[in-house]
Amino acid sequence: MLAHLVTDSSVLWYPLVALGAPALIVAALTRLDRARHHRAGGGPPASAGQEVEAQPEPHGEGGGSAQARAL
Amino acid sequence: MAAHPTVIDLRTQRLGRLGRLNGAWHERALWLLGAIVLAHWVEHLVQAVQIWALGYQKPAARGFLGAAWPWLVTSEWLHYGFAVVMLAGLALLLPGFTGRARAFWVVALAIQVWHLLEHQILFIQAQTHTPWFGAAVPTSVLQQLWPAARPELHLVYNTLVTVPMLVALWFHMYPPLPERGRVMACTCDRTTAKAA
Repeated sequence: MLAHLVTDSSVLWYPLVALGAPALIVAALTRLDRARHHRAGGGPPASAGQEVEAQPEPHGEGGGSAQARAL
Repeated sequence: MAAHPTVIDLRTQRLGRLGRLNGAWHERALWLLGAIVLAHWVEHLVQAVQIWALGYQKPAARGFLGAAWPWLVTSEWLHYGFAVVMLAGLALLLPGFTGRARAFWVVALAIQVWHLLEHQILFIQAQTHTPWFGAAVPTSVLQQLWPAARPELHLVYNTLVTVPMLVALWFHMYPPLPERGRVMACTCDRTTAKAA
């Protein structure tokens, strides 16, 4: 039954897109933010082809971005 | 130490009940809207299973509540009701969003306006028992392009509304780095410690 649902129709794509697309958009924008934050904050700029190191989320005690702490 | 009212506090006070809905009640209201969106998805996914897994004819696939009470679907009340409540929720809860989250929420709102318009057209035809566009049953504008694809079309609509909604909710709860530390009137931000 499930195989029929997957092979004979594209109906499963709708909920998958509804869940997957937001995750991809958030991940892409967050990565861009971090790269921008790195450059603006004086961190070492990523060279071409170099992976931008993901910074730990500034959650919890002692956390907070430079902007947040400055405000 | 007594907290000083912020600009957002003053704005939400001026907005009265709408201000409270976008302030202290924003998180609870968003949970409620989320539950309604989920219930709507359940209807469409059950309908999809009825058609593509159980082999129902499309007109007979009425979803979860529609299976028990067919008139809810044939009268168009069920999905028209969902569309109205979703648009109202998206519009009423918009003032609580800021920055990038607000941009995505506005996109969801705009798509929902079109979705409601489609349901408004279907609802009028069902209530007046007068199909438009020369069809035998109520049809909507984009259905003229894909006449037999109403379930698929509405799965697309719900996907297009849900995607920016979820992105907006994420950035509302976890604001992007440049927006961190902004004062929000609601309790939705998960990156700031709750005031004791």
